Amino acid sequence: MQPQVTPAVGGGAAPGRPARPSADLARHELRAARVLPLLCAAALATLMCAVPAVFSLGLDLAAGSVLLQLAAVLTALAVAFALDDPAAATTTACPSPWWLRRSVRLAVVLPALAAFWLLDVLLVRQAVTAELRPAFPTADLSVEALALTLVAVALGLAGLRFTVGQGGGLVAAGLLVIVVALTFLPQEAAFFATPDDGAQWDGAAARWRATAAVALIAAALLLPRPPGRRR
Amino acid sequence: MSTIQQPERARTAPPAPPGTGAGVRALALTEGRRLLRHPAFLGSLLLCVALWVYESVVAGSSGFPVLHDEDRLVQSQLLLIAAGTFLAVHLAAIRPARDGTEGWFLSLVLLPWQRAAALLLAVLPAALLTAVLAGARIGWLAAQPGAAGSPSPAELAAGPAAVLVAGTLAVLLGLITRSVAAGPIALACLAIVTVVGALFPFESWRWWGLIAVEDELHAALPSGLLHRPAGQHLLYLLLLALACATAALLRAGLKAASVRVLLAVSLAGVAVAGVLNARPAPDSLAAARQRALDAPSEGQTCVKEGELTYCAFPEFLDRHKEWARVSEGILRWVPGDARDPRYTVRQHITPVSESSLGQTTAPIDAWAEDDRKAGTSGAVAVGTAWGDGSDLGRDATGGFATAFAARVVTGEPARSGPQDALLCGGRSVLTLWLAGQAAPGTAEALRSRIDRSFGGLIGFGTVTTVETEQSDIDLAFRLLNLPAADVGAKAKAHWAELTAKDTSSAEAARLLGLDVPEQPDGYGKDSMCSPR
Repeated sequence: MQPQVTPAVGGGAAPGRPARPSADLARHELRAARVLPLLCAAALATLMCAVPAVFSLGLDLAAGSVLLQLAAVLTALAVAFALDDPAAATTTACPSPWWLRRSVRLAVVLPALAAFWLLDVLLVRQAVTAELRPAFPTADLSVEALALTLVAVALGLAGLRFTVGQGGGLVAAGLLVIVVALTFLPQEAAFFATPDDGAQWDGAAARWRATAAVALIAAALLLPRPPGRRR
Repeated sequence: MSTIQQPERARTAPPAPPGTGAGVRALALTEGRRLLRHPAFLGSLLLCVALWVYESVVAGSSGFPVLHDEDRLVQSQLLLIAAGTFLAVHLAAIRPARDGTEGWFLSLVLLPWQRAAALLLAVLPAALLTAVLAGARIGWLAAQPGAAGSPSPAELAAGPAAVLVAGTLAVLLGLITRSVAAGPIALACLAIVTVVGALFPFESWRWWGLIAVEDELHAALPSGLLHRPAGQHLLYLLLLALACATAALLRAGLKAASVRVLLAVSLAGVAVAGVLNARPAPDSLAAARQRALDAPSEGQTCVKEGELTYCAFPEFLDRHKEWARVSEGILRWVPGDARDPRYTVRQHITPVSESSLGQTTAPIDAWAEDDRKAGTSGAVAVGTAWGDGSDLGRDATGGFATAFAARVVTGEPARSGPQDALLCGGRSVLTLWLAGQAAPGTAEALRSRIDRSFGGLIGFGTVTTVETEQSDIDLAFRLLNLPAADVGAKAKAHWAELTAKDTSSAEAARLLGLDVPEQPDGYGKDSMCSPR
């Protein structure tokens, strides 16, 4: 009886099994994942970031950071859809554990997003007026983008838990409402500040770092949880 | 048999079977109820209301509202509800695809376009609810003490109209693509358009968006000096909603000629209204603004209360009660023979500048000329903002208190030179003490300004500026901790000495009853006030 319970990656070493089970898994997981929304959103964000660079509009720090923040929200929104798994009900029997399957998706999606983000940052930095460029808070904005992405991942995973693996992305759409609500927060607790206001910007950056940490823990806790039971 | 015949009939007969009007109505009612109970809609509604409650109850920053500005600010908060409506309606529109029931729906009595029509109709209750909320919000603000101006119905209706646009656009989107992700992404694009429009509050193309944001950091202007084609914009939004709705019906299979014509007409209307809105502001507006800035007296009404005269733009005239509270609180400690027989307070607007970095200075010389012509020489300037909840309001309140106290103490009106704004020595301490004790909240207003300032010199005021040194501020705040009646009596007794130009700050503080040690040599030598 013992060998059957072993939940090893890719099950036991059965004859004829591929040497690299996770690479094999990646192919299937990517096929099952919804990448079109992600690609659309990331392309849209990059397009948006390219506009001021192409027309050399000469942005100030505030406009540049708003642009990157919008790009970050747009891409984060689509991340959760990549975790959606309409076949969850049937793949429960699959020997690969949930955390591995989801990690495989994230391991493909997140680096791709990072590449898009790098492109966005370069484009916006290019559009920012030359003398202001050294002061452009690239690191803070990247943390912000990371935090938004992690929140989207955590919300998506939570959504998978509640909606039988189908509507994780939908729950993550709540991210949009959350972000809009954050923009209305009073100054003392603002998440969206302008870099011209140093103290407020630093406060907001600290809040984003805390958010990223909380979201990372939440995502790590939710990663191995199986989808909720069908009603 | 009948189970097979019915879908046949529904599919082949384009004209609706009898009684489907009732079916559409019933489905619209159900969808409307579902929309109102949808988590996205409810959540956005709660957020919007929570914002208002926070602003009014916790932050207390909604006092002294200017209603012809608030009607426009309400729109941006109602966009939250529009976003919730968009998500909820989009999910409802693609529900058959999500549940895999599209095929089954073919067997129902209602045709696809009739279900689309029901979905479109279901947006109406949400828009109505939004309209009620907008009305309640502005009504609540109008009931606040110190509310000025009157709201424009067209501005107020723009919020609910945006909800209609969001709902109809969501139905259209749900009929074009079945993707769940398309909803949030489209919504994010709408948000980007709105944010970009808000980044350029002086460009006329921002009227192509759902709402047109003004430069909200600028203090209120009289309603006549705003350029807001609100009625045309409302028409634009309604036509946009109509265009989305007809396009959705067309897409859902209602290919009647009347629908095509309606779509074409509404699209043409949208284009025309958009072009009309995006026309730049007329030159006469800039001229009127310049006139109101340089020579406000011709458009203002004056009211005499006690021995003071208050002149203000008619919409703001009621504010003179607040100004009177401050000025009387200052004058009560001024001996009768030191008073000017006719103090005047005149309201001024601040220059509207398109660049956020370019600090514009008030045309104080032009104001003095205007006051001379109007027979109110030496008038103290007061802005259009007021209040004790927001930074802008506190700055205005504290600024007016200091400006009036400085006018009383120095006996001279504000002047324009860079050095002229600086108050020194005993005059400075007395001015700050008078301003701080003038009315409840003025000390708090001064303190809030100090907390947000850097450097040795701190300027008070949003219209004209009074600058003082940090050391004088410290003395004045120590005086404010003493009973006002005691300090006031001493101020009255030693008025001539206190207001003399060569009285030092420490001497003045001692005269007012504060125990200040003799200053060591070299103290304050590098200050702006020390004699060179």
